[in-house]
Amino acid sequence: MRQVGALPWLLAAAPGSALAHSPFQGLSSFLNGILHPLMVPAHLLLLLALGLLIGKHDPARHQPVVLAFLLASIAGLLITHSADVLLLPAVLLASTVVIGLLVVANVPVHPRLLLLAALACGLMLGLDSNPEVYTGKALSGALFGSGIGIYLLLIYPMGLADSMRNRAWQRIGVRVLGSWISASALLVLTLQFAPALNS
Amino acid sequence: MRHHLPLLFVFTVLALLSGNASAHATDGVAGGFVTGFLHPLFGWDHVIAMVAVGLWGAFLGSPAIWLLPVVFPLVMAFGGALGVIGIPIPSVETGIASSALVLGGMVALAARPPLWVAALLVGAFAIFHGHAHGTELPGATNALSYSAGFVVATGLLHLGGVAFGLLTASPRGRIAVRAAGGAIALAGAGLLVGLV
Repeated sequence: MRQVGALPWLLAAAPGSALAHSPFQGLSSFLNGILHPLMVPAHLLLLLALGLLIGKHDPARHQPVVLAFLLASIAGLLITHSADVLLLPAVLLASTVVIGLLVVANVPVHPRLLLLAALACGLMLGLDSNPEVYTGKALSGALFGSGIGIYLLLIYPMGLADSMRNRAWQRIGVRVLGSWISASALLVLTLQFAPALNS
Repeated sequence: MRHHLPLLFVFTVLALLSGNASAHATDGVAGGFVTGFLHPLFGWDHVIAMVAVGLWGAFLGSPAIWLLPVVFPLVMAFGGALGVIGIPIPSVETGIASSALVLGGMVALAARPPLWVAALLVGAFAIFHGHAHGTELPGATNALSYSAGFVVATGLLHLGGVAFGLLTASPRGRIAVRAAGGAIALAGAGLLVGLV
């Protein structure tokens, strides 16, 4: 039974394709860093899902969650600055599916679980933000920009969900967004494992 | 050595599952999204069926008006996953055309089945639509932005149907909505027999 229970974790840890992201020509490494989470769909969807989830839970009462996310993403960026870290797209996608479904389910999430999700997502996004094409000062600038981009892309959907907690149709709108995010991530997660499942 | 055997097994499995490292350009993201977004819009069978889902949801009122647009993308993703894995579903195109006929017919006839029946019916048709989109996914420039594009387009078509369906609040609007349902059912019948 323990072996069966370990299977999802084993699959999640399975190495997949490493995806680097080429920068926009003519823009500084800092600006490319800010745009990085916006231009990587796996990052964007995870940030949208997490932002909506935190926003649904009265962010004013959960400021430590946002702070934890920020610190974890900075830690991830610092680690990836000094070491090559390969984070698997499947882990980001699986996290997006689960967090999106929590938005759809509209159930209150325990503050500790919210904190844990913020820590894990912040760390993963930081670790996966190495642009690979920069070195030295340009790399530092790109990662600094990525940190700002990641933070902004969490804050905006969080503010949106927070402002849409008052009326029933607004709460439904947030849940619809959650279902779109989960559906998109689920499809690509399947695509990641399709070769293994087909063979 | 015996203690290290499970770890050795894990690392062997992980090594066997490893894929290639590949870089990709960010311009594929926008292209993938646009391609995915246009996929449901350029197929009349998808468009009318999605609008019919929204119309029926609005016609049935709360909670169907929000339940159907929330459930549909998730079930559609399941159908899409079947398409990605390569599990065949028989007569996908017939299923999509039937969805327009049946869902349009439900609106035209002002059918009000129990919510679970409506959700089951819409969910069953969502699998056909998802499968059709899913089979296109492996060839997409950027799979994630492609799937986000077609999920968003599908959702917006639902919302279009819901918005038009809100006319049911007035007696004349109710007639207009039922007439739209009838037109969708007729188009679905035309698709089934190959006239459209």
